[in-house]
Amino acid sequence: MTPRPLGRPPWPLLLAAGLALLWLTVPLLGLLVRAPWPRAAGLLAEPEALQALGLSLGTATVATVVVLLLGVPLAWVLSRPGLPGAGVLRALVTVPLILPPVVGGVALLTVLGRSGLLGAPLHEATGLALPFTPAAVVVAQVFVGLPFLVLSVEGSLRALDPRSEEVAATLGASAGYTFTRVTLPTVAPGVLAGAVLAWARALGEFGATITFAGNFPGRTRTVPLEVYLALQSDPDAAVLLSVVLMAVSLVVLVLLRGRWVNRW
Amino acid sequence: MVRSLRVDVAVGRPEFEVEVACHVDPGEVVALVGPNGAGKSTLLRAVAGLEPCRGTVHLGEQRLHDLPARDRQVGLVFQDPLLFGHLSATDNVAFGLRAGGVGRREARTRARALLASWGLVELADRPGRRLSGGEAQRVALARAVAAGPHALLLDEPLAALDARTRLVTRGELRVRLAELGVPTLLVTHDPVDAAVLADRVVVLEQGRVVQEGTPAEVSRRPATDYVARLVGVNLLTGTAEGTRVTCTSGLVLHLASPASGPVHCVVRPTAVSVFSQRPVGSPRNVFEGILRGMAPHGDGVRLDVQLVSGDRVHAEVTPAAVADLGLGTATPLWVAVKANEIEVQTRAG
Repeated sequence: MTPRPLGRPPWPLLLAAGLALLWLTVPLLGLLVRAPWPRAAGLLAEPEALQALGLSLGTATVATVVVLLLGVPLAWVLSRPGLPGAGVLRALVTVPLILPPVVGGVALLTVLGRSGLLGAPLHEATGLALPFTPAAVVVAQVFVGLPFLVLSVEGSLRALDPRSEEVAATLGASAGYTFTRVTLPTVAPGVLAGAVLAWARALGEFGATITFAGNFPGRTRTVPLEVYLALQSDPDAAVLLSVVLMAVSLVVLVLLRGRWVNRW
Repeated sequence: MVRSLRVDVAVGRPEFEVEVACHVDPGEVVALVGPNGAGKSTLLRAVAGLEPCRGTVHLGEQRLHDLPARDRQVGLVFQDPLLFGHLSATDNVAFGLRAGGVGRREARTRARALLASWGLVELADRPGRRLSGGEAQRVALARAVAAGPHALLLDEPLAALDARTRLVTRGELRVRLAELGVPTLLVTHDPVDAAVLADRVVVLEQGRVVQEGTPAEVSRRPATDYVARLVGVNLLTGTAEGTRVTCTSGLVLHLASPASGPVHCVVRPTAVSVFSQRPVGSPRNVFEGILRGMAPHGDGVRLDVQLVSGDRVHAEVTPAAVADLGLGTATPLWVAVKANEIEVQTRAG
């Protein structure tokens, strides 16, 4: 065997790297080990669990649709060359990514709560109030999921050769026709990746949801909230639902990695 | 109705202003040549409506400068094919028709017919991103042509292709441009493109036109060093029969591979060797001539040789070779060209 050209890797580095890997994987393996597999089917068929799963899937999917409808246009605007204040706008979009979700929930409450800046006039005018409704869950999920889609799509749009759109223009295409027939299909992998990420983020949303939407069974109690509550009453159920959420994350990871997304 | 293109524009750029006036007649191909950054592509973009500019662009009496790019009906082909990767070759070619409101079925039929008439029907169903460079560039030209442009702008359309593909594609491009008969502006760096494709050459340096004329005129009296280097290829016109080309002057050239019909033979000056006595050995193309002039050229010396047949041939040699050969004006000498150094390009009869 030829000797390593750079010599043996330093052992402290390898040790730290190994520790990091364990830190990330051992808790997840622990979940699998402790999951109450014999009771799995029964626990998942409990009405509370089914209700939470249904609500989570429904709200996360609606949130993803909203994220797509609003996020793709925002990404398109951000990707335009020469946009004034593009750096500031991009930073604003990134804020919810690093903001503690509970802060996001409080922020939503101060604006859209029943006595919030916008929520109070809305309630007076129509009698509608967002908190404690599935709509509030969707609002919280869009808040945390939108940045994932915008950043992913904007990255794809900026990697696009601007001359593609110029060619389309010389062929007589209007800006709208070019957007739907050239730009959007070309960045489809980025849109798909962003949508899957946003959906996964929405599915796991906890802090903003419990703060802003509350914790009403069947209305705002999504799977993460159900897990948190079950931990007090039925730890087995909590572990099992956690395994379900973990499985969804793994599926998302598999979908996003490799060339599957690129080869759309 | 085919109309001529008249351009008189000024485009501001950080380093200098690009200020060009030129016209292109129907069916005429004008090569825009010049060093990198001379403003050639900028000019094309201005004509296409992709670059803000002052001045006027007319197509016949129509004022293109008042129209946005999408209403100008001016086809543009870049160095990269820029096919829409998610669309098949057919749908790429049909794109302009679809954008113009032609129904899907009708547009596809017409796109397919165009591809078929260009011998590209086997590419019709392949997605744009699965085509090779040469295939993609042909489809890109078809896409521009299918939209029914009243003028064509080609921005180094052959530059990204490998030498062999370039040769074939150049020949096809010639035929297509002749069929189409619209005014064509061609940006190129390749002297062979200018010699073979263009009816006229416009030389641009620092945003200004420094010379204008037929390829032969420009190469005979290059206005600047750059032009001399660029256009100084040897172009011999003749008729091929197998591996033999008989030039209009009576000169006979031998080729490495057979061709037929009217051809251009292109020989780069660096491929021409010069001897003081008739060389023995392999070169089959050996001609006697007289030295008519020489001039320093980059690191070497460019010789202007008049052959016995009357043809003028440029040869590029090292200063050391000039000394060895003991060259002086009117020195008799021999020039040799290897058969595989002759690039053959079919031309319209």
